[in-house]
Amino acid sequence: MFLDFILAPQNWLDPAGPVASDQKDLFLFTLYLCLVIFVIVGGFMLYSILKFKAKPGDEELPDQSHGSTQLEVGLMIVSGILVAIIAVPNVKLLYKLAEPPRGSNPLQVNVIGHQYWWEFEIPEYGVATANEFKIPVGRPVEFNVSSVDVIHSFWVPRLGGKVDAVPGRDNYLWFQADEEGWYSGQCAELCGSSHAKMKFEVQAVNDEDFLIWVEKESSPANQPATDLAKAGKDLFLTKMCVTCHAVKGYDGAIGITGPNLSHFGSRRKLAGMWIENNHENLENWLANPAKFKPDNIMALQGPMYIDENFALTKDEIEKLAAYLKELY
Amino acid sequence: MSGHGPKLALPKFLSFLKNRPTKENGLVSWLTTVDHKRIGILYLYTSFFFLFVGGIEALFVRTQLSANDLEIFVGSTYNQLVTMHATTMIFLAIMPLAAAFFNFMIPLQIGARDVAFPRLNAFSYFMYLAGGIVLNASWFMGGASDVGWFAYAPLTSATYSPTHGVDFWILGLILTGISSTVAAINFIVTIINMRAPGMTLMKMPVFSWMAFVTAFLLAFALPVITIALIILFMDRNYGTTFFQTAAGGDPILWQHLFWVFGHPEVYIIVLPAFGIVSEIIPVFSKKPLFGYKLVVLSGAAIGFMGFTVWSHHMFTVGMGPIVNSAFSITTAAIAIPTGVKIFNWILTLWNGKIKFSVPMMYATALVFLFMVGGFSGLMHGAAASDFQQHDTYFVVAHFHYTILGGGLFGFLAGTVYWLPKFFGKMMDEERGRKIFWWIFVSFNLTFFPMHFLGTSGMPRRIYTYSSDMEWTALNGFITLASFVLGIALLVFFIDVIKAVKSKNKASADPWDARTLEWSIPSPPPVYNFADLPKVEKVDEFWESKISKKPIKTLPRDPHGIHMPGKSWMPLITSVGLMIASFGAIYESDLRYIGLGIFLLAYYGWALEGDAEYYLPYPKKGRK
Repeated sequence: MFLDFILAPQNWLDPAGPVASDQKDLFLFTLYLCLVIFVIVGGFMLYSILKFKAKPGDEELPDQSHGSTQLEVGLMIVSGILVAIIAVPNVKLLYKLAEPPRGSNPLQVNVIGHQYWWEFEIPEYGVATANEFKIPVGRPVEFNVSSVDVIHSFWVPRLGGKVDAVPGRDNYLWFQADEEGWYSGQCAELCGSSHAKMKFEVQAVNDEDFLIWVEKESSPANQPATDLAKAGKDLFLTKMCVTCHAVKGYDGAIGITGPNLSHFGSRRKLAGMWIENNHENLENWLANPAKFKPDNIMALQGPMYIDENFALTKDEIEKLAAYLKELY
Repeated sequence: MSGHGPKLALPKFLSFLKNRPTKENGLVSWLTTVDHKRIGILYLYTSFFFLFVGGIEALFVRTQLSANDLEIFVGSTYNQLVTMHATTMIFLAIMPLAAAFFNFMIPLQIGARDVAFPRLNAFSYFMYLAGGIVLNASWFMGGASDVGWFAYAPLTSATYSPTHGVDFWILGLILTGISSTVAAINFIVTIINMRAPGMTLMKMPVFSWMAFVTAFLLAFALPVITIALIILFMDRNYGTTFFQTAAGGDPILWQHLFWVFGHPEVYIIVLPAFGIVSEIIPVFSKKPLFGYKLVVLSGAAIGFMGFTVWSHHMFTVGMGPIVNSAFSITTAAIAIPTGVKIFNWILTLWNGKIKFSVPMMYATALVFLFMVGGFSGLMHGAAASDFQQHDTYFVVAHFHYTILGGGLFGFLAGTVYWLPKFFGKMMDEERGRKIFWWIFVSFNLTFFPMHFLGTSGMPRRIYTYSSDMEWTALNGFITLASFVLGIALLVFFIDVIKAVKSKNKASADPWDARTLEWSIPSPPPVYNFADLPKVEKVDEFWESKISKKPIKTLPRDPHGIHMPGKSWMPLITSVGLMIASFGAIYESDLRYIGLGIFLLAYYGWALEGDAEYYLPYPKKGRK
């Protein structure tokens, strides 16, 4: 039970790409080196403690040694060498990680942090989405990371270390996934009340699936088919959802404060990747978003949550949910 | 009444400003005291109190994290607890605990009657208390700061933190900052000017040396954070834009300012503890400290190098490989002087005759625990892999091993070691051992597993996590252990109070120790040394015991023993500044009232006149 953590989806000692793998190697190298020194120094100390315990009744003074300059300078030189031994692979790796490998044609992804969700853009394919995105397996991906409000930190542990998303600044990070699969990521810098709820997921897929996905993501949203969903589409306008959320192909729905919902129905999860994206959860979320994400902007400023005239009835929530689910 | 002569003209109810207080007992005597020993005791008890407050906050945090998806302390409430736990522990508990020992011990160790500026010393204490009150008042006045103890901009701006929590935090820290800066200058002057004749700097006890280095760190590091806090306050309240991106400011500037203070702060906490360990290990090994000079120099080196590493807190900010490499290397380099200390402690044990009294148990435990924290620090220093560890529970484990394992354990050692000198009472040895083991084991059970949470990707400061993250079992275990640790620490402090109230009288020198504070009675008389000592060697008191010759003393002053006068002014100036702080937070007229009180007391401070007095000497031969 206590070893569950080894299977953790964010265990960075279980790397799935070259960057995380290099970082794991350096981590283990410094760890083992430190462990060896710890065992030697700590063992020496433990030995002294046990060996030189005063015997009861022995009042005679021990040898009053004041020190030995040679010994101490020697120990300092040894520690200096150990420090240098760590510095070399570290600096090498820092430069290696600074840019994607030369001639590798990385996929460019823009990452923009918001309180409390992640916006992802792939300009090459006209993709704009939130909290979930896909990357091709085996190809380096370079991220241009920034923020629109406070500082966040972009981190997918099994693929590579983090970089901060700082407003007014472009930071760069690259990694590559060598295995297909879902990779869990999370904001790593305290960014407000729902910092814990600012998770996201990356799926590494083969080239073919990737192209299918970008094709779909870049096309306009589905038109609703059922009557319920059609009514939901109207509510999306009248309840002012459009001021913050964009839906491709829906005239007027071009808001940029909240996530782009063009293909919302195809997302796996809701509320900062916390709950499954099904009807029931979606309705609960719409009824009370602050319960899932304290102090999120929709709950704090959305007219349907602060203005009685816009408040959502149960019926309306059902319609909106139906509409959103059909946006895949 | 007025207009005659140069005397201060005051209405009758303010006449106490003119006549300096003389009460020797009761509440008034404590409020007006300038005795460094009493101020040390005030620091000690107040920091115990805040340690309790910070501990409760920690246990609330642990309660919320004990299982996945709990909703006990959610969102902002949780963030307030985390922020105030760190702020309270660092600024109101651990630093003042060091100040308690500085106050009580420095004059005794260097053979002085008091600190250089006794009234300023009282002012330092009351400013610390005022800061603690302002910081914690926020709980009852709309909520505490919830932006983390390092308060990264722009989350701290009026836009993203519209409540007054951050303002309380800023002003509370400015007050404690003034307290520490003033205290640092006081200690520097005391140590430079008031050492006993013959005690050159290189004959000074190591604890006083580490206090000396720490005082310089405080004097150089605190102004940086004080200025940063003032700038932040102006950004929030007066429309400046130093840290606001949209108006051309730079949030990263805050991080640089904060960590230029924040990293030396680590050594401000740890160096005094190292000083305590360097006192205790020789005493209980019956040997002089191995390589005294190098221990002192390495302490100074750590202090200096502490100013060259701040950006290792910012590896993920995007500074680029050149800067990251540079700060990686300076960070790792601190391991060299730190290693010197550890080697010298071990070599002091070597060939000694070690007695494991309770202070020695904490001191040796500190060496082990600090090694764990030091090595994980070395690992963080490798920036390329730190991109993974940064802002995870691996870091939480690391700094609790350094600040608790390296700091608090030293202060617990110091408490048991010096309690006889503070209060003239001994702590119970048997109970002390048991409490030690409870603290030591539960400490490791609490913080060691956090390394594994870190490697399995749990970020810091998240108020909850879902079950599929696989962190539940470890977190539950840690919470359980943290409660044991909390209770064990509480029992420790109850035991301290029990000892203080007991009849278990301590002799002047119960540990067969080496430094001057043990040459005078426990507790020391108000004037410390009846006859001021003349020092010829390191560990002068020990040498005098070995050679069976009494310590040489200075000739007596024919007037008697010269004592500083008590004063109300330190308390009143501090109260004035505290009221002004509340006024500044609410932009109310209280500001002017507070500043008025401050100025009045400041004026009184300058003009209250001479109240120094002389005590008769005790009879020769009696100490």
